Order: sequence, then structure tokens, then C-alpha cells
Amino acid sequence: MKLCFLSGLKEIIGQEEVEIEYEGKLTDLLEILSRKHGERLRSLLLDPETPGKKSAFVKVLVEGEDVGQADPELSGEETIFLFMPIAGG
Amino acid sequence: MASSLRVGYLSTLYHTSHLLRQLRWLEQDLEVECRWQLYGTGPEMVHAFDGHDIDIGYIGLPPALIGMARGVPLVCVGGGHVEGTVMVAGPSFRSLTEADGVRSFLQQFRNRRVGIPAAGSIHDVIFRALLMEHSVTDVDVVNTPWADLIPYAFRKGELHAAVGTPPLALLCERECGTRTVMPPESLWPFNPSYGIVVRREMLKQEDLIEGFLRLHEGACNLIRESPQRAARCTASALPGLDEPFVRGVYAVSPKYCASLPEAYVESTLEFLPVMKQLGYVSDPPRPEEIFESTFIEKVHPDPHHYQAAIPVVE
Repeated sequence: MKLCFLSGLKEIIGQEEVEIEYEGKLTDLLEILSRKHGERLRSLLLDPETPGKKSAFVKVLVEGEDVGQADPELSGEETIFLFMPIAGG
Repeated sequence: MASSLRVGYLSTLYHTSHLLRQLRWLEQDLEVECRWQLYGTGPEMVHAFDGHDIDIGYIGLPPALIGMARGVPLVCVGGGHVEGTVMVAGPSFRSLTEADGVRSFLQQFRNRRVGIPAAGSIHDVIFRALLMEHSVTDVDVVNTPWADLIPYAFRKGELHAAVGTPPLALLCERECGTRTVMPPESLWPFNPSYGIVVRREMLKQEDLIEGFLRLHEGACNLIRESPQRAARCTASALPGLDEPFVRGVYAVSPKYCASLPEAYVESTLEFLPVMKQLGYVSDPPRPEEIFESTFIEKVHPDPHHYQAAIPVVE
């Protein structure tokens, strides 16, 4: 699986692209990333009020599709973009 | 007055949506519960309007016109900003002032890829209109669902230039070493980069629309008169942002006002024949169907502030 971290996130991760092996729920992946990269990343990726829920701020595109507030099952083959939208519409 | 309001917005940092969300003025002054929904582009928001997902939205006028032409019952009740489209490119490309005229400037992008938000967005319409006007062909326009993907594509060498909002221009400059090659005022004078658009049935809720516009006008004034405070507030609303970046965005095209002056309306109407030629609309809406200015005339009876400078912050 290829993770691409864009505006607002790549500075925390320290790199723009990361290849990992992972199968499972998107929110579990966000939890793993938060544990690895600390509380700052957790505050951006996960809803502080509802454990296990994606933050409304972060945008996640799986194979180019905006997942919205869904929590898709990932097969491990996907390219996923994660970013804090700031570039306008 | 309605007890809830569903508001569509874009991530464009100078839209007052970010201030109203953070300051909770709508909840406090109008006593409505707001549900804010973020969209990647104007055309995506029009789709949401069509699906009755939102009541009111912050949107560039061209995608709203496309929606009206396709039967989505929309009407613009307020302005917000003009001239919010910028073109950036790598250092090997000449700027408009360095080139020998607009056609020569555009020709350097033949067989090059230019990243732009979705087809039908104001940026897309403005750039395609420019190419058409100057008979420049073979420029590869690459539309993206989220402008945030454009700097990434730049770094990958997949794009040579981009057209979009001031925040996109600053991101590209900061992350990809691009520079502005065509400033906002050169692309389309007074183009309606965003306005406040509602579903037509909302017009019955006069107090709500008037109240919303009053607060929107207050937030426009905040950006214009106290940009540092407004930038701090916007930055605190969006994790990962800093105040200097927002201030930089405000300064790219400092033309903020809630009113709907004649120049705003005329510039909007100038899009219609162009959009028809580009194939975005076949049966354009009539001018009187596009705007309902009664509310904003009450809220903002004075001359517009689109050309009022904002103070420089040390």
C-alpha cells in the first residue's frame, strides 16, 4: 500500500510517500499512524470526541475516491492520499 | 426562523466560512444549528445543492451558473470576493509581463500540462476562455478533484503550471519553487471568485438570509480591516495552518466585500456566452434569474469595498 501525505501532514510524517504492508479498516490504519508519529498527528487524523472515528478535517482519497466519513476495508494494494485541505476549490 | 442550516463551503482560506465556523456567529446571533459540509470544488457543491444536501453555499459563480442552466434552483444573494484565480509555473516559463503579449505567453504552455481544479470551476472556465480567446491549442488541461493534489503532481513532474486560488499559488510557491506568472487582475477583471448562493426555496426565509449576509459582511470587514486577527482565527480553525500563511493568502488578491455591485454582476454575465462557447451551458440562465440582490442591498447599502486595500501587517 502506498500512502501519500500532502499539505499539513507530510511535515509531521517527515516524508511525502510511505510504502507499508497493511490490510484492514482505514480508521485502524489512522490509529497505527497516530501511535507511530505522536499526538500532533493523532489530533489531525482522528476525532478527539469519538474514539476510532476519522477527523472531519482530514481528507482521505482511496484510489482517487473521497471516502468521506466512511471507514472502508483496505486490501493492501491501494494508493491513499491524506491531506488537510487548504488549497481552495 | 429555521432552526438548522446546512452550509456548503470550500477550503479557500479567504472565504468567510472559516471565520463564521470558528467564531460561531451564526449559532450565537441567529440561533441556528449549522452543519458545515466541505467540498473539493464548486461543481461538486452544485451536485450537493441538486441533491438537497445543502441550503446555502460559498461558491464561484461559473459552477453556480452551470447548475442554474441545468435546472438546479439556485440564486446568488451576496458577493464575497473578486479576482481569486492565479496562474503559477516553474521558473523556466516567462511571466505575462516578460512575454510578448498574452498569446505568446500562453503559447509557451503548448504541449505542457496545466493543473486546474475540476472542469466547470471558475479557474477552469477562466483559463479555457483565455486559450479560446487567443486561439491557443494543444495545452493539456489536467482537472483535479482537490486542488491540494496539484503541488504533489508538480513535484512528480506531472505538471508544468497550475491555475487556481491564491492559497494554491502560495502552496506551489512554497513547496514546488513556482512563481506567479499571471496575477489575478490579469486573468479576468472583477471575476466573481465566490458569492453566497442559496436554493431558491430559501428566499422565503428572509430573516435567515438577511441575518446570514449581515454576519458574512461582518466577517468580510474583519478580513479587510483586521487581517491579522482574521488570519489568526482562520488558522486556529484549520489544523496544520499557520497565521502568516493565511495572511499571505489574504494579500494575494485583497478584494473582499459582501455586496453585489454592478461590476460584479456584469463580470458574471460576461461568463455566460463564453461558457456556452466552451460547451458548459447550452441554455444559459437569464440575468434576472441569477441574482436576488434585495437582501444584500439592505445589509450593504453603501458603495462596495472590493477595491479597498487591506492594511499591511508588520
